[in-house]
Amino acid sequence: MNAYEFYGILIEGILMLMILSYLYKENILFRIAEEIMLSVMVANTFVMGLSTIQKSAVQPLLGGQIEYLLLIVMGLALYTRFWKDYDWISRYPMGWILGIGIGLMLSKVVGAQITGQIRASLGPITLENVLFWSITVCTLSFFIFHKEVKDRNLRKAMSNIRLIGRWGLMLMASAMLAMSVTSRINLVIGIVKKISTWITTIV
Amino acid sequence: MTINEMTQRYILYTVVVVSVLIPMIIPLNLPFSSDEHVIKYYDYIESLEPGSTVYMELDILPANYNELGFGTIATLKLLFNKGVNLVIGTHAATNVPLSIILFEDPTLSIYDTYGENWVFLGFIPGEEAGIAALNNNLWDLIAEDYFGNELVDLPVANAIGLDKGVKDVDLIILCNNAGPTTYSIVRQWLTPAGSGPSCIFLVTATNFPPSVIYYPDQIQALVKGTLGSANLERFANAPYKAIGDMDTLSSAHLMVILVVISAQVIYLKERADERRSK
Repeated sequence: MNAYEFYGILIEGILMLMILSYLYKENILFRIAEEIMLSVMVANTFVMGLSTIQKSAVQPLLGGQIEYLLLIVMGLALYTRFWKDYDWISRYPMGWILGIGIGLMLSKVVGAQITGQIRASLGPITLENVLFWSITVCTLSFFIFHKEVKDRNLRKAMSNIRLIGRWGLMLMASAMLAMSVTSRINLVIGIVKKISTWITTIV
Repeated sequence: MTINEMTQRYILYTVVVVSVLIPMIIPLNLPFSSDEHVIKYYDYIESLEPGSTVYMELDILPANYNELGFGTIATLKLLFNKGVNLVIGTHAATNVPLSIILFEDPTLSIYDTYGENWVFLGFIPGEEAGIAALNNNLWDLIAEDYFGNELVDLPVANAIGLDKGVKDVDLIILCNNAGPTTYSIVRQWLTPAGSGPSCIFLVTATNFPPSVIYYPDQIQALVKGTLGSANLERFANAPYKAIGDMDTLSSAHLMVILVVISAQVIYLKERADERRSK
């Protein structure tokens, strides 16, 4: 192991212990490590942003693609919002960005997240699918059919349907919670492994 | 004697850490199962012909590295064994450093053929618009790869075709958190269902349930977390860290189940005592 790797592991372990000190209570060491992590993330994003501008705008411009000049000017115009008299200029590129993003999204969102889901739900008639459709309808009724019904029998039936819907929601929530526990335990495993590597390296 | 909330918390921390540490010191070799999703995921890769094109979207962060990193390494091993042309990209700048660490894993040694059969585009800007543009052309959006090579000069770009986009690849592999990027990908690359290439997904366990809604029409196989990664290592015949983690994960799960049952028993006992005292 070279010195670079050794000091890398040393600093990594120290920062990890500083973060873990939060388990006792919030303290200055935790806050320092937290700020370092945030600063590194911001610095990385900043450098990536600069590199992206260089690769996807400056380089083509220098290669003779003059239309990129307009895009660079529009990008710079975003910063006019820091001057009160000229902040209206920043609305044009912002509107352009939002317009393209929302336009692209809305043109596909119905197919991807509404009709696509309904079609995927309509599988062949199997016990699993029938159970799936029943729970879907019952869960939807939990949110939709809340108008008071006067007929006693119908009211009882609706109440039972909503109860099944509530169970469906609870089952979904518990499945998500169980999966979250799995992910969090994975994090603990990663941290414990790192600390054991740290101890063996340092000792 | 009642245990205050703080002490309860420390007891739980201790229990979790002990249950994680024991299998690390004494391997228990607990069995683990594979499901239809893992088999489908593997089958999709196995069905690729040499020279096929695969696009891989990476979203590896410190928080999910232990869960997705080893599954991604196993996937890369399977892909390189098949001799495919691979394009890797990421739509979040924060994912790039860990992606590089992952490529440098000592069991991979893939840099020898960099540019010939694989390329790392690095951070692809533009979010929804960038994702939509990549669907039409893989090489137009950025001039250089992450390492500063001109994309059009790379043999892999020419082998795939300079006019090809994600819509033309044979398989899309997502290794990510199922965040906004995934939803944009589903919208721009996989909608209407069946119109785009096949897509398989290695996802964190937390985000497995919300991702199931896209199965099977838009996403054809969903592999979750460490269990999926361990199965992929088994299929790739390259046991690595995910298989080692399964012991720890299983023992920690058993411990969590015991803690949940104990907490319920204590709660029911306390409630019964309260009723009796009334």
